[in-house]
Amino acid sequence: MLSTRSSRGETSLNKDSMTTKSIIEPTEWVDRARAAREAGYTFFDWLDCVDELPVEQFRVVLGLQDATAVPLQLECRIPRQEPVLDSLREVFAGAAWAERELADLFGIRFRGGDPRRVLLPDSYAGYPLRKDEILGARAVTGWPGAKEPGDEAAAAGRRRMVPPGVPDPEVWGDRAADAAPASPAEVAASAAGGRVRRARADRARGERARGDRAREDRAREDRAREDRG
Amino acid sequence: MTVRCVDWYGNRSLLVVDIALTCCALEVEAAAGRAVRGEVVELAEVTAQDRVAVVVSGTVTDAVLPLVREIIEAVPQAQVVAFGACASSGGPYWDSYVVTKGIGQVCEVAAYVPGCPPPPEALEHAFHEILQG
Amino acid sequence: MTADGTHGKIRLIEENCTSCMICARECPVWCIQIDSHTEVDPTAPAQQTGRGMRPRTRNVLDRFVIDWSLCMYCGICVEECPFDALEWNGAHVAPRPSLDALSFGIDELA
Repeated sequence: MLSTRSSRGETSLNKDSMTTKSIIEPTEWVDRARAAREAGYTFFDWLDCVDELPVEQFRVVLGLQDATAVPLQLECRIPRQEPVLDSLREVFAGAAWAERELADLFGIRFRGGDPRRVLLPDSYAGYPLRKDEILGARAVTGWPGAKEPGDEAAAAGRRRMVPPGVPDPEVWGDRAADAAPASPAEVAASAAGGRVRRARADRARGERARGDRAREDRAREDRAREDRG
Repeated sequence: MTVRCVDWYGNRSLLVVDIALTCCALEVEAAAGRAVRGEVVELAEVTAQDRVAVVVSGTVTDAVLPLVREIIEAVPQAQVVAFGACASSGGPYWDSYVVTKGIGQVCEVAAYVPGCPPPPEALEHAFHEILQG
Repeated sequence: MTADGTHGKIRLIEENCTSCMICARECPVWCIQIDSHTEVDPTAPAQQTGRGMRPRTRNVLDRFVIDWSLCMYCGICVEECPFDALEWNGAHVAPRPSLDALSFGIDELA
């Protein structure tokens, strides 16, 4: 789905990936956006974010278009523990609104950006689009699908089911008092729904996924560096 | 804030205020396009003999709730019609962190119209319940 | 199957339902509630020969409720049911004066 070797503008056969994509360091974010605008990508289309759990980072993506609607995407990774990025509002005034939305929904702080909330009430605590954010109403409402068919006794041996969006209470909601708080990745993985998995398999799966993602990221950055250098 | 009613059948048998919030509003407009015969009636012209339906069509977000309440409370002898799943119970957004689970949480509702969205005919059906009731 | 496919009311064909819970689990808004219990199935061939095996059981549907005030009419339950116990029934669910009246049980869903 994604294009390869993005900064060279190569496209793959899939028409969905005709968009040129470049990965930018956070320190170069504003400069590269300005350079793109000066190169003809003058239309600010969108600015969005992906929570990359179990990898502890946010991927912020800027969508631009030139005068003939040729798209360009610039993306940048920021650490999830300290999600800060320079604001683009000096380069594209329209980005201010999108940044306020990302600040509300992901908790990203944009240096030099508009600090006002745009969507959520002032009293709201939390970041709804983060993958470890749980919809409280789902967690406390009894799920009709929790029952097993037939008698209770017949179901005794089966692992419990939880619906999508509700973590295993032992991970989030009813955690043992002496257990350390679950990591965001554990909460997000637990809220995937299905049969409640055993903790050890979960940890192993999480570590493998993190390892794979880190390897992919390094490989992609190496290629991008080659292309630029 | 100016609230206006529409003389739905053109014979003053039912005045309707539509609080058009989200997608369900399109079905109410479709119903209005087919059914409405009468003119606009200002709130000040509403008399004690009039039947007045206030249709809440769409998702009632927490942000919009105060305004919806204000409108309902401004309309004399309002009979609230919760049009669609969202206005009835929060619908598919019942679990949202910013949605009111149906307008019935804050006022009396005369008719709940299920649907996502209900067809335009369902609004007429609800009006017949109110006219008879 | 369905008459004209219009997403109006959903009908429950009780004799096809095995209480498997799949519709209740797949429903995105959690508007389906099911209760069932287990009974020995006297009609099972093994039961009748009395060959000393474990009793054959089946699940019996006690309660099946759709809350129409929540339902999105998406049809996922109809598509997911492995036993064709749910189908579109054409006519829309009528408006009611109370939310309770919009919860339909087995009889009202027939």
